Amino acid sequence: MKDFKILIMVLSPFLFGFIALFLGAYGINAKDVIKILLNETLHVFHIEDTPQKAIVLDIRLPRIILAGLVGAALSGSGVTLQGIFRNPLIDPFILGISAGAAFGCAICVGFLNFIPIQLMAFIFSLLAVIISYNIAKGQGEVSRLPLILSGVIVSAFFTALVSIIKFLVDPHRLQAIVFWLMGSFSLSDWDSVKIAGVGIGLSLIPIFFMRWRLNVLSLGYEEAKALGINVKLERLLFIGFSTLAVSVATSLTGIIGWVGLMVPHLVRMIIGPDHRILVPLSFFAGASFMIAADTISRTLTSFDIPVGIITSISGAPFFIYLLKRGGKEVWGR
Amino acid sequence: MVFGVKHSLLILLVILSIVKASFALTYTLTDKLGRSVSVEIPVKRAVVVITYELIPALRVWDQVVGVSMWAEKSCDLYRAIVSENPSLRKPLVGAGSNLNIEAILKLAPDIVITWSYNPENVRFLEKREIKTIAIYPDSLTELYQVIRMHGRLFGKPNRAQELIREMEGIFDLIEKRVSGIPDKMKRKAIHIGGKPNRVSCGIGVTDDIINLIGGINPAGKIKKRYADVPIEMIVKWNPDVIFIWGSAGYDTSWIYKNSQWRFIDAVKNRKVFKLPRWSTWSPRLAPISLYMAKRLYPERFKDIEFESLTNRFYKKLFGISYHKVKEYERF
Amino acid sequence: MGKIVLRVKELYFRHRNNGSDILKGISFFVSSESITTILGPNGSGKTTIFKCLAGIWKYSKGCIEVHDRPIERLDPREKSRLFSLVPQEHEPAFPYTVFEVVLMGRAPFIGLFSSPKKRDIETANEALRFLSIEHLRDALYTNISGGERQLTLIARAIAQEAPIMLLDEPTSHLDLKNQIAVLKKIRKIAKERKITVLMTLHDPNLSNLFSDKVVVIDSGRKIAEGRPFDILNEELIKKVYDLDVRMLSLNGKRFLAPILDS
Repeated sequence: MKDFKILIMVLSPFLFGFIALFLGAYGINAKDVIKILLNETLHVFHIEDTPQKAIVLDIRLPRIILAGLVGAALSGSGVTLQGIFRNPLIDPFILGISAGAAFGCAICVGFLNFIPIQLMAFIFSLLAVIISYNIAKGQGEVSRLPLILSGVIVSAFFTALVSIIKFLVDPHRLQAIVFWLMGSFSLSDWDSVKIAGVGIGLSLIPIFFMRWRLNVLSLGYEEAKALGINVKLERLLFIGFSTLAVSVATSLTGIIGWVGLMVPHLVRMIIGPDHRILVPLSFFAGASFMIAADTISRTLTSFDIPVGIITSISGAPFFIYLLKRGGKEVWGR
Repeated sequence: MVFGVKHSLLILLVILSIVKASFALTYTLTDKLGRSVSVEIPVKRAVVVITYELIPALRVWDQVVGVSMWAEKSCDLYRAIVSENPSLRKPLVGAGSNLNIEAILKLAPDIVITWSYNPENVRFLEKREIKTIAIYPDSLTELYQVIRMHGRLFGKPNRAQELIREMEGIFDLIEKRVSGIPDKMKRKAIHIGGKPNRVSCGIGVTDDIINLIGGINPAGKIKKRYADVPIEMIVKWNPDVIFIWGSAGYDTSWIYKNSQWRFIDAVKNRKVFKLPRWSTWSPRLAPISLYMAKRLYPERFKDIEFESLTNRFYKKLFGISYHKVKEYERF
Repeated sequence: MGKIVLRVKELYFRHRNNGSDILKGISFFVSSESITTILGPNGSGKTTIFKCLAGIWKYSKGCIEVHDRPIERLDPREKSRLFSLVPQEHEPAFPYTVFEVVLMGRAPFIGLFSSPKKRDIETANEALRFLSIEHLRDALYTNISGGERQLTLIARAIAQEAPIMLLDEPTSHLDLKNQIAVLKKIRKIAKERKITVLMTLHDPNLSNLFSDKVVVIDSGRKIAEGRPFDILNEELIKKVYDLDVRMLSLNGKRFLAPILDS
């Protein structure tokens, strides 16, 4: 039974992605989509370069892949942070990482055009999480509620800074900044996919290999240390990689909240807290969730709804439900 | 007798000023937010936040005490005139979305004319007993109303009418040349804004102009000012011409280089154009329309020399040449 | 009782912020394959000693030697190969299974970028079998009883394969039946697996029954050290616990019974 659940979760992003290729405002015949795909992969059916082909292969496909990568990044980062901080109620959004990344992007676009945007996003999101962590830190241990509170404060702080930048910046550059605050995949292209592939790959792969360590780290500072773990170093590594994943994602598509909170939590409820399985499944589940949400955002109406709205609409009530349910899975104690 | 000439003059003066005061005109209007505003006209100390291009057009420099910072930062017309005549330069009061209330208070204006996009600003000024008018012309007709309103406010109604006549001169010229085009031969044009997938839709000045120049706005059926649409939708609409907002952060090369757009006729035929960075809520809407018309139906406007026509327009309305203003264009 | 495996010399400890010493020059030694109990009232510094031994806290002065070699310079992993720590049972952050908890004891042998291998899994299973709790393998740690949880943590320490096992109050929160059961298992560990056991206990009688040696601590100082038979008597208890007791003999064993004012 468990293996079946795992199989479904692993296959779901590919399934959703495949279905998503058939959906879109342009309205392409299913047969044509299949022909295009077969032509591209197996080089059968001679297909001319038509708008349909451009849409399936240059518009939908990169968008779906990017959504998958970003979903995996947010969810993977969420499960990592939840493990390190022993708190199932946090995600990169709550800790201020997303806001820090948005600020890095804003400064870059507003004033420092020549610096690569991913670098700025990474620096400031790292700064944000370090500040959150330090505010909440006790004697080597980090308590739960203070961490959420400090994350909220840091997030508000960086968001305010973004507002200041909005105020100071040229109107046409301003537009670009405003768009970050509400995540969207509407301008996804193959270039973004390449950047995401490298940046997110470089962060999720190490996390994958280190995933068992999260079990031990979730015991807390003292016990983990007694088991021979260099807790400070390993926490830093995890935080560094998950922040990198989130900042790359945010720099490409803007702030998308709740995914890092909801998906790992759902997966943990289904499959248990052993990170050996939880971490990779979080990647896959995050990818399929994001692909589904993005597909809805671009097909529900004739508009391209910012995907952050879809994730928030499903996220906030879920969060409330979790809090009300309470219990050991939520608080652990 | 003490009650002599001096006192009679004094009494006469007092009577005259009372009479003059009772003849002072009050102009009552309803602004875009539905607020009723009564103002003594002509105004002497106006703060103009959005429609600063009307200041040289109506020639009311001495009746204006403050403008928004975008006039200085990005309006070539304002900057050109003010550089030639530094004494005309006005204090800055922030931007439409972020008014500097203290700066406004310091100027003790008798009217503030801003846009309705940030109603909280308007209410804030109201509370501090500063008369404020909120505008947002969503059509050419409304734009005319706004110009006329400015004319009345500043006591220059005839001048305002003249502005409109000049604008109509250009519009008529355009309309004459495109009126004969049957509907199925009309070309499709879209106007995209801050993001390449943010299109101007059925409500607003832009849509009116696209129709005026004989085009069809595929996004016109969406009854909003603008909307974000999936790129696929734009491919589906397949416009013949794409106009990019003058202040957008990207330009035509972005569109041409982007393989997602390559099947759109406008891209295939290299008919993507970035508009000049001029305000559309100004008489300059007329030359902008001409600019667009020439690109939508170039064969019908081949003989029209854009620069010389626009130059005449500028000289007549603003008293400055087209080339002089162009020097101050910032990218 | 073999040679001395652990030697603690003049151990001092204070918290970074507070001024006063919590441990004031503690010295004792532990022989290999024996069970030593550290006895003392609350706040005497028992848990502090453990945290210094396991390397969780840094002591300010003194020396700790294992097999005559000082451990200061060792990194956390090397220390964890010498000492395994069994904390008091507690609520975890997440509902792991008993097996997953025991498997965590293998951490010192698993690299940062690796996952548990076959050998690790076998070792964990074997630890469960040794303590006869393999039937709890897939039970959730959060769903079992206090005694079972304590045994799980002990199994984790066994899986760690460290020669010295530190148990911090393994019997608090347990009822009498479980206290005896756990202590019996600890004795089995010391005897059959040749592990040196160092544990803290409240109860002098239980120390008497289950230890080869007792170290009595009060207010950060060592009061006495030796075989329970030799040192646990009425004066000592009065001195350390401020309690009047009477020593009784039963079946060749000594017990200390508190005297209550009537």
